[in-house]
Amino acid sequence: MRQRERQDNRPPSGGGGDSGGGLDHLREQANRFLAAGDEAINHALADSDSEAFLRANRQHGGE
Amino acid sequence: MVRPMFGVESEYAIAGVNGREPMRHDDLANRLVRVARRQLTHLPDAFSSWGVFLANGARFYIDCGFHPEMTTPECTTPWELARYIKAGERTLERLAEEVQAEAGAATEIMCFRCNVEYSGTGSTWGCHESYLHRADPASLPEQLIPHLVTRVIYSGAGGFNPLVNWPEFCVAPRLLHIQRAISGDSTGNRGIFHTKNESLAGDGYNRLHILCGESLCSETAIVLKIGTTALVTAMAEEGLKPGAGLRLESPIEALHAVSSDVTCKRKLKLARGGEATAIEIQRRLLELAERNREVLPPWADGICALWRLTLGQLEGAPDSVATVLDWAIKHRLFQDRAARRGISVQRSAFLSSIIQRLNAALADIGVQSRGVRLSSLLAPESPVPQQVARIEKDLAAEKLSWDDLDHFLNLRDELYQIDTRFGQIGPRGIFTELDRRGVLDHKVAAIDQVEVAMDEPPALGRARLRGEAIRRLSGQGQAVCGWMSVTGPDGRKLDLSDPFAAVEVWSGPTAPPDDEGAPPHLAGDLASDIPTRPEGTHDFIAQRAYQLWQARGRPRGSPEVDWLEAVRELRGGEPAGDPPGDSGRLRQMRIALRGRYDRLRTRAQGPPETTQGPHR
Repeated sequence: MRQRERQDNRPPSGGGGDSGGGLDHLREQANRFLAAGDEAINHALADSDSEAFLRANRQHGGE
Repeated sequence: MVRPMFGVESEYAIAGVNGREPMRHDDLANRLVRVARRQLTHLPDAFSSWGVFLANGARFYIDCGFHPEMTTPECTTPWELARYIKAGERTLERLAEEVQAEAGAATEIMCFRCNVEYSGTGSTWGCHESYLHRADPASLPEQLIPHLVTRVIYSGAGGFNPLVNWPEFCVAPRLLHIQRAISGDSTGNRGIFHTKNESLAGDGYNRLHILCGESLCSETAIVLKIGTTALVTAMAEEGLKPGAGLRLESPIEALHAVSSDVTCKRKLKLARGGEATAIEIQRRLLELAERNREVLPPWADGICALWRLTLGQLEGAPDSVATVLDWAIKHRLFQDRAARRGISVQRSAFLSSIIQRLNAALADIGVQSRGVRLSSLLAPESPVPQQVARIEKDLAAEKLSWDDLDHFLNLRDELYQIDTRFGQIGPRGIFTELDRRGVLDHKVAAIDQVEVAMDEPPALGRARLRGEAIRRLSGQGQAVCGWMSVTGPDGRKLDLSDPFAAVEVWSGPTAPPDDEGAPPHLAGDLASDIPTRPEGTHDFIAQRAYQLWQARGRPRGSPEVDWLEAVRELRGGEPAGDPPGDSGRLRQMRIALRGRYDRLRTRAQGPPETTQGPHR
């Protein structure tokens, strides 16, 4: 899927769909997003222990 | 017609592991600065030995708490500013890669745009915006606050409430730390409206400095946040009174309500009576901008179109922003993650209530719940045995056990990590990976040529002159740079007090070394009040650190910044931190002298703030 560039009044792809086909498209798009999200998260978290990660990233100071 | 100009300072969290050992933050900061000095075309920062100004007109430096900070050059369109934010992040990514390569294969250096952290220190990372204007500063809070409170619906970074220890999703987690409507403080007791007005420009200019924002990944969110705020500021400058009729009864309550409301439909009480949703308030501001385009900058049309489109989506089809705006992307990802772990929204709410009950039980006996392990509460010597027994019955009534709560706590930590990793700079970042896979709809036209922007300044204004001077003078002796001037190796100064300067005007040849490059209060204090230097003694470092802290306006927290700066001066300009072979001596000195420095500070302003507690 190509990235959509937003600078005008175009509706989001699929966003205006109200027919059955439009809903199917939205559902398919959402599923693709969630599958990609799951893979991206698993990749980012590979071999990491969340508690240890948070401990290692404990910050001192900052704004 | 007003001529907007703006910039953004972004603070990033940094972490490093060497093997399994976390690296010290001061060590990481030192390494980043060294690499930046070696690899980037730059001039030393006139303000800080930990900073450099870059050939694209930006500033890179290490701020309190040893976190890196990138300030963009001054830009004149929201798209240009977004490009320079991205350029700064790519520069930071390259620096971190180089530090990692130098440190060896077992090392991983990570930078995050993460806004808040979840271990309970209360630390946040700011993303401050600056808008040049000529309006009366006193008139701005009333005109700006309704916008700053309600823009959150598209400018929220998303995440979890950092003030509690259960996973409570919110639209803008950092804004839950904002506790006042108006404040001059930038590191504690922060306000929706920050009264700081250090223009960093010549007479007649003011600078609106906004603290109540968050670092974002989505191009749409970045451009909207900057573009709409610049337009509202411009309307205030033109006397259009954008805040008229929109004054909120309680701005702080409204901010926290909007920051926690994923529906964007919560009604906010108006001071004149009646209510309005954040979307309705934003629509009023949009319509005012659309009616007054002739006095707004030419780019206003593009921003208004994007503004209208996004408000329509938020109102009519909120799901459609789930691939567009940071908070909405995260919300969908987190819900899905919980579902994949077998935790429904209802179960999450129930288990969160169990955590709250345990917190309350511990609070009753004076114990802070953060850091208390579930296993210790369930052990025979549990500090709250009666409450544990009651909760166990309630869990059983829902066909749940302590194992389910333990599972939920693991999910919480995982979600916190996902949130942090979402904005990780570089290819391991979750947002970056989603973008690479083409499942997001956040892109905005004209945010391109990021690689070019890493080296080239914006085409207009003083940032261009600054960048060009830096390119010519880099590496030449005593040349230094500030926001308002560049000082050449011969002492001549390039005047940058006019933000829209198009031609270089140098003066000198022997201008004093400490003049307008630094803010006035800094210049005087730093230049004149250095004690006769008893080199290497305790007193020098302690007194000097105290002076530096005073010169910084006596901020709370992070005394190490001044301490290390004083050590650096003692060494004759070397970066602070422990150089090889010197670490033992300096560390000993630091420990021995810290007490004296803290006593000086305590006399002036009470005890230094610790890093614990939720309200930093």
